[in-house]
Amino acid sequence: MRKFLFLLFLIYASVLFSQGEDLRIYGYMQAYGAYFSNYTVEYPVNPLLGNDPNKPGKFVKEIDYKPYFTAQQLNLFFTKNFRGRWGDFTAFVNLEATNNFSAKQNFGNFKVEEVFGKYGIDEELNIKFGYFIPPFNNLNEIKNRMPLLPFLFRPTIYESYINEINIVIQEDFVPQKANIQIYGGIPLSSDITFNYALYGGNAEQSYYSNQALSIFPAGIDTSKYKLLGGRIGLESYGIPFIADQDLIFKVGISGTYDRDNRNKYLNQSILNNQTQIASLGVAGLTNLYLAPIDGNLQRYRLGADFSFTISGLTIEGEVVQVKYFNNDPQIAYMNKYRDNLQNALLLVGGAAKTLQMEILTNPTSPDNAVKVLRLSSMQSFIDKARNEFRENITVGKEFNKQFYYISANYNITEDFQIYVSYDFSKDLADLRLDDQVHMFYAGLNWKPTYAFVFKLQYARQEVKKINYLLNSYFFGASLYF
Amino acid sequence: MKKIYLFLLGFFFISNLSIAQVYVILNSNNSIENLNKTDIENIYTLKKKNWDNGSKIIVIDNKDENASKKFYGFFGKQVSDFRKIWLRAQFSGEGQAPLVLNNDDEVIQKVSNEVNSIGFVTKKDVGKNAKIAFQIE
Repeated sequence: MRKFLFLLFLIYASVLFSQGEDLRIYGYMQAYGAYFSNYTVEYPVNPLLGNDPNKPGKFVKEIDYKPYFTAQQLNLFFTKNFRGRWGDFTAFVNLEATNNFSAKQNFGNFKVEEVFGKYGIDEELNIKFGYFIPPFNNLNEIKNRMPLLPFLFRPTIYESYINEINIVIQEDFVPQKANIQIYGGIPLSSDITFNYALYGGNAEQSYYSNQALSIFPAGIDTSKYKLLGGRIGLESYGIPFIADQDLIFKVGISGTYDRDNRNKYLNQSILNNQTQIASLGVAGLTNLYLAPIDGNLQRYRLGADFSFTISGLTIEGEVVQVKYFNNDPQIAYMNKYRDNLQNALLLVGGAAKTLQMEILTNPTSPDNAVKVLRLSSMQSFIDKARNEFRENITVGKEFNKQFYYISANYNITEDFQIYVSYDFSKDLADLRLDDQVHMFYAGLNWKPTYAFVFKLQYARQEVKKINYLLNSYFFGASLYF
Repeated sequence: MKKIYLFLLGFFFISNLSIAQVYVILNSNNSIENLNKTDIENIYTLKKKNWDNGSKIIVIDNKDENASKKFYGFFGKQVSDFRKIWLRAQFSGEGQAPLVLNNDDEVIQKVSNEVNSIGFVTKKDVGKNAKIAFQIE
């Protein structure tokens, strides 16, 4: 009977599979070579890093870059459409390998970037369900679609290289994944369409569990916080403008509401442990205690974007503002956090040194057994505090963020394009980035065939606060297949 | 010298004459007889994906430079503008980029064999199995 049912299932599955259109497999890749200038980073001095004798009050780190080549990205898509009485269904899978991926060598990264099913009743109403990049401004959805972008090195908040070395976290500025979306385009005239998208999904990835918890397997968002977001805008694939040239445009506003996970230092700090602090018996240390506080900050992101194309000239730009609700207590905490942690290290460090001296100068004292125990507790505190300080060395005193981007692209011919772009970002939650981060870039693209794009790019990145200036040169190609 | 000028002028005139018109063609079994500019633009920007009877439209791009420049230019846009739209749709699962064929003959052959297809060519003689649904002057 079981065999019969299994056979029936196989027949049913094969009939179902054959009902759709052909499975389409396509993809793209981008590879580049890069040369970076050497650069220095100046951190404000702190007890862990020490002082630079040539620059008092600073710790200077010099980085010596070498040129390199990389297969930056490879994406493979699998799509299948099914037509039914109730509308169109689409299955979509996007697999992504980055940075010279090799499982054997433990290089790069390979992941299911997107997987979703789409149900389209008509152009005006579609539903997407699965795991996908949600629309936010113009670039978020296409930030990894390399053949669509002129860049090899992308605008600051979209560049995965900067994200991977943990300088600018993309998720802090723009949503990374959503799980359900309702969207469509409503024609307002023959030339202009009103686009809308409303989506929801899990909280940011830091809320996902790394290990199996109770009934949940690893990789599940076990928090009660979820993402809500959307974008509305107008789009035209061409309205008559000058002479016989059409104007193609897209404008929109975007927004999300979710939680930003800052629990690591708002309620999991060593300074939140009143009993441990008191037990050390170090004078003044109890004053540095910080009462734990809710680290699930209510965050909203707002965005606006535009793109205009006429006669081969495209001007596009976008703005992102990240703001927080009701976070005055958290700001008050953050204003004390780093100083308190640093002072706790100095106080306990000093007390430990004194205690050590006492033991050494009077090795036969009967109190030494107690003193050694105290010293051990102090050492344990110092180790934890030092690790915490190291981990959170760049934590700022507020949380708001900003990002602006503008770009001008011009098609000299159908195959040859030049562009100049500029972006500015500011992240008050990071001491390095709380003033100004500027990136200027320019480049050219040559498309010898439909599917190939050769790219050259110059990028100049500047972070004033840490006196960081990086000049970089890239050449590479995107290939669509 | 005059002869050379005349020859060049003649050559220029003839070479331009050869791309003076582009024809939008359908399979002869397609029930639609005529298309207008908006219909064609909607099909080539992937806004319109199905024929009125619900069948999926198979859109064909002609790589012939003369044909494509004339055809896409008619809509006030560059070829690259259309390609950007196609790639964006394809990479987001929202549509399928047109099938790219090399020249008029390949486009005519494909349209003749595929009832739901649409293409554009510079040749007026499209054979028995295809028909002209729109003419770009």
